[in-house]
Amino acid sequence: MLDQSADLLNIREQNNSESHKTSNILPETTDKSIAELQKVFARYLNEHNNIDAKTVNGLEFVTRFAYCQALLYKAWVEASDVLANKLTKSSNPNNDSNELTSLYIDTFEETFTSLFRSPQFAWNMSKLLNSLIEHIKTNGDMSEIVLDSLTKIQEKMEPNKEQGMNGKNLQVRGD
Amino acid sequence: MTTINENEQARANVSMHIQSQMLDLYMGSVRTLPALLSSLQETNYKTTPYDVVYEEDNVKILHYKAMTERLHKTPLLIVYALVNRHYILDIETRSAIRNLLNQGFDIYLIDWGTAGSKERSLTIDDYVNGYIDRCVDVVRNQSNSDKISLFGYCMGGTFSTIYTALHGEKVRNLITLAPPIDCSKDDTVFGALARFMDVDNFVDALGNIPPAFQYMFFLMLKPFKHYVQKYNEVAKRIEDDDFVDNFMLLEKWLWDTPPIPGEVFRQWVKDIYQKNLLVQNHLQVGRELIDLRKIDVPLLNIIAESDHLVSPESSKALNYAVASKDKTLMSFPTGHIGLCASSYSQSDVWPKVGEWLMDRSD
Repeated sequence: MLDQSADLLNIREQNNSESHKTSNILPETTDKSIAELQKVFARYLNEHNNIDAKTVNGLEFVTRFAYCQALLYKAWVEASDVLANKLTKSSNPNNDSNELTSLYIDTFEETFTSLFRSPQFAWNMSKLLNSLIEHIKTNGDMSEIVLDSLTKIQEKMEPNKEQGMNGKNLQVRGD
Repeated sequence: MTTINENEQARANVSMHIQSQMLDLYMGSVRTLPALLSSLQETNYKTTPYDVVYEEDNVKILHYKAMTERLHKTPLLIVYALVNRHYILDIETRSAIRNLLNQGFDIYLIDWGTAGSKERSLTIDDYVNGYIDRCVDVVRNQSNSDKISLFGYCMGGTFSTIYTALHGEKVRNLITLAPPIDCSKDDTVFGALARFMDVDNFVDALGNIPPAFQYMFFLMLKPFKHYVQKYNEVAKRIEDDDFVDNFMLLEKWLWDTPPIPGEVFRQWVKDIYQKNLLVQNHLQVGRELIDLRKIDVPLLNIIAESDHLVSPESSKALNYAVASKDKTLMSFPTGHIGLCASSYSQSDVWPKVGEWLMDRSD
């Protein structure tokens, strides 16, 4: 199961995917929900032959985002467990609220900082940001297309916009 | 049927309690934050008085007005980083600038301004051999000194180091504050992220690195201390005007970072972080290879023991890389920003920096 999920996002060459970067293999995951998500995407990719780069990027973004979320949740649970251990061992856990708050903050801080420093998180974050960048580029392309269309529509609606002093149309050079 | 033993039940109860406490803390911050952030616009700095003595594109040289008799002829030029803004060195009651002015130094500072589309294609070469070199010449002419003392903070420290390796004849002393030098020893969150970053894709798509992306990275540095505990603390001490005023000044600075020029960021991440070329003497800036062994001027390297932005080990490497005979490493038990903008820095850091510099200035 892990091997299959690891092969999930090896992207097939597309006809018009010169700018599309082939995804690297997702890190192995023991998280069942992520593995399930990856299986769904693998099936989708196998069943649809002509998937464009943008769709693949969308799938990658969702998978990476979900994986980041899974790592964050795991860190939260881990920090809670560590803290629970410390509190149950402490003889007077609720004596000093400032000390208790510091204990909470320090424990969660340590766990999350370790996560953010880990190669696993950093690698996945990098892939997530990459797919986000691809989305931004796509949106940029879309904005250009929309603006071009609007400009053409405006030109068609206002064909006599430029007129000379005698009310006749100005001759455009080269016409 | 399995029964949960008493210890496991106790742990589960405590765990639930913790979840609810952390959520309370977090929500406390969330409630406080919008009101604080909306007040940032009303927060104004009273800077130490200065004259603008040079302007080029967005870059300015600020020459701070003397607050006491100038005792040392050799001027000090401060090179700040391209991340965040220079006025962290001039926070009202904790101003590093004022501290050094009061010790009789002649202080100049390079204000990089705000990077726009024109700065997108500028490289480290443009900054070091272009702007910094011209600023150094302006300061030398203005102060009638052949050489200046160069002080760089963080990325500015790395730039100052590179500059000194190339133009050592114009530098009397080199002072660096938490400079990234040997990034293979960097175990910070930024170091980890930089190692895997596809910086080409980033810069090609975005050009200059926008503040929003930088804030996203900042969020990962001490997320609970900086984004939960800090705001809860403010909520508790909201009646303490001095505390809140100081807090607002720092917050304004924190949320006021300019875009980072794209090509500088590309080379910074690729060559300095990922390939670690600087400390290996393989970094190319313009047409020149930077050889740190060419630095033989007196060096003061200042590091923060609890630095979460630049690992102390990364900065320390500078002392081993240069050929200077007169080199000092000062280490202080504070953080990256605490080195320059804390009450501790006022009483401990800047007097020692001044003392070191005094012995080596005309």
